[in-house]
Amino acid sequence: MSNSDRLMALIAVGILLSAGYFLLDDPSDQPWTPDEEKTLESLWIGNLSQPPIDSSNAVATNINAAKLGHKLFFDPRLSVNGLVSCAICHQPSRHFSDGMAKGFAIGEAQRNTPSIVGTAYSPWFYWDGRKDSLWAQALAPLEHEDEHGGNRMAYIHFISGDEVYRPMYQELFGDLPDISDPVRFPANAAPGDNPEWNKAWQAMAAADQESITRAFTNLGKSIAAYEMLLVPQPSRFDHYVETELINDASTQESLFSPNEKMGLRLFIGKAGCINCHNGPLLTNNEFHNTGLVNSAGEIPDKGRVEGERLVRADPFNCAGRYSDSAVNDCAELRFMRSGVDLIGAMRTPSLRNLEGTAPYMHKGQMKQLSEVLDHYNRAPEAMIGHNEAEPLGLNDLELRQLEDFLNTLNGPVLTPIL
Amino acid sequence: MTLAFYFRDRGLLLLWLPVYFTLSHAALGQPVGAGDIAFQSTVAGHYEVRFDSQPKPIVINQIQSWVMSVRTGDGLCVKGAEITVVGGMPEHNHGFPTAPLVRPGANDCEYLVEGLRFHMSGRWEMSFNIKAGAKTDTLMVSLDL
Ligand code: HEC
Ligand code: HEC
Repeated sequence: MSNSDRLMALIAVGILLSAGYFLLDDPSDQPWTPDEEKTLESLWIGNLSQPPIDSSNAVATNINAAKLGHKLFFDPRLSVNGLVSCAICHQPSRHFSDGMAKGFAIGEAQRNTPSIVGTAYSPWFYWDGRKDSLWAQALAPLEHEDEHGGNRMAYIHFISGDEVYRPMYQELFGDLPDISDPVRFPANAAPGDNPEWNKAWQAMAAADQESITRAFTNLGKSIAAYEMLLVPQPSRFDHYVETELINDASTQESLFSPNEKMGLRLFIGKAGCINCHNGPLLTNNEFHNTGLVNSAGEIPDKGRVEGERLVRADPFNCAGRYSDSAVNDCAELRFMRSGVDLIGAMRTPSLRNLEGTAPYMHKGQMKQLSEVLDHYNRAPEAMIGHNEAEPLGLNDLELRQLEDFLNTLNGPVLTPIL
Repeated sequence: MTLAFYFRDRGLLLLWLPVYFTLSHAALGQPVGAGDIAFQSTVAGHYEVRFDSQPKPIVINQIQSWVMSVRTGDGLCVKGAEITVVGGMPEHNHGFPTAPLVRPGANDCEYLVEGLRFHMSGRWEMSFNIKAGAKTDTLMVSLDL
């Protein structure tokens, strides 16, 4: 053996020894305690039941409504220019998001387009929760000038005149209003920002406004029935939890790398992510201020304080007359809270399928998960309101481990068969 | 993993067992878990309160109502009480995510606590203010979810 060989051998032994030392102390190799196992199970997709039934929507679980809603969701004729469907922003291949910082159709939306997979489990919709049902939500983009840009009167003309839609609608909701009189029912009319359409709308009889609005809400209720079917699919993490529940240690070891396991440990422990990202969707669907900076050139987003005001005033809310609920059913709305801590608070998003839903956060402020984690690690003071999160003091390895764990939460895209 | 680890863990476990039992006994009657919050007395001892949560065990992220029955120490129904509830998570420095209300329930003893929701696991502290006639008393409930 030459001297250099001997040196190499020594170094090799040294490396092996220290690797052994680290392995010995490697907490990623510790088995999960019964409490930790319970926590893992609480995040498991197997614990996801059917979405709660929306009592404000009588057709929420009607399969024919879902069929109609499915068609409407993908139909660009439901727009002022014939080019915009819900699916251009909520693209199935991207888990129903669009890959852009902010949604864009006719104009730019105010915020990032969220994935709508699993959203049916939330009591609130939009980042600020300004809608309390999927059907009420669906009506908004249809009439928003930056999104579909149309108006309810035009949509009802379109449905009435379409050989496919008309019978589908009538089978579910009964006759469409008779809109053959062009004086009573102009081509375009809707309350709102478009002065011409608004004027036409104000000129309509109250009963006619009512029948058109009701038919319009039925379109929303059908789209909602389709969205109820957009549920997440199992990820590698879910298989991992299954092996824990059946004590299959050898399969378990092959499913997660030591770093992924450490990331999971951090997620449910020291990093405190699970406080807000809990349950099988990894969200509590509540509102939290996490101290994000606003988009360049914009005033900071008020978030839930504004959303709370808007949903209370919304004619399409659960307590309104287009809702199929008895007012007493509207617990979320009745016991809704306001408060200064909701300034700048946004609804916690699900952490499933992050791979396909970048950029992240309510304005798409962050392109990569590493930026998100760096943000949590620093927990900067909020520009508006107060950041609930505290600095974490994680090192670079730990941040990478958390990121590795988040990447185990990706599952296939579901396209329901209808 | 290694044998060394296995034994070290075992050793630790044995060491901790007596400590664990002492602690868990000392803690008895203090915070309650997700399973049961059946019976409690108010701070000044004016009232005894029994809860029936819906759903049971208590879950996170779901709006829920509890039935609360309020009696005096000698078992009489406390009728027409005005009850308010506040609460939150002192550890996280936030309150309830909802604004729950208490209203009269199915009979003279019963009240309905509506609009409760817990959006995180961990320690929740709740305080019920119970005012019936001239007697006002407070019930503190700690929950570990
Ligand atoms: C211009 C792109 C665009 C179009 C078109 C569009 N959306 Fe969206 N969608 C968004 C954006 C952006 C948000 C978030 C806005 C906010 O929070 O203020 C959103 C939010 C939502 C949400 C709330 C999800 C959640 O978890 O909060 C649902 C549901 C939804 N859209 C469904 C639809 C439906 C149904 C249609 C068609 C009728 C539609 N969207 C059309 C961009 C779009
Ligand atoms: C106090 C509650 C809270 C805690 C704790 C928390 N989050 Fe979040 N998380 C949120 C909210 C709220 C948002 C959306 C913020 C916004 O856009 O204004 C969010 C957004 C995210 C996003 C972006 C998702 C998307 O689709 O845009 C990721 C990724 C994320 N969190 C991961 C984590 C991780 C990892 C941890 C632990 C280090 C963590 N969160 C801790 C509430 C929380």
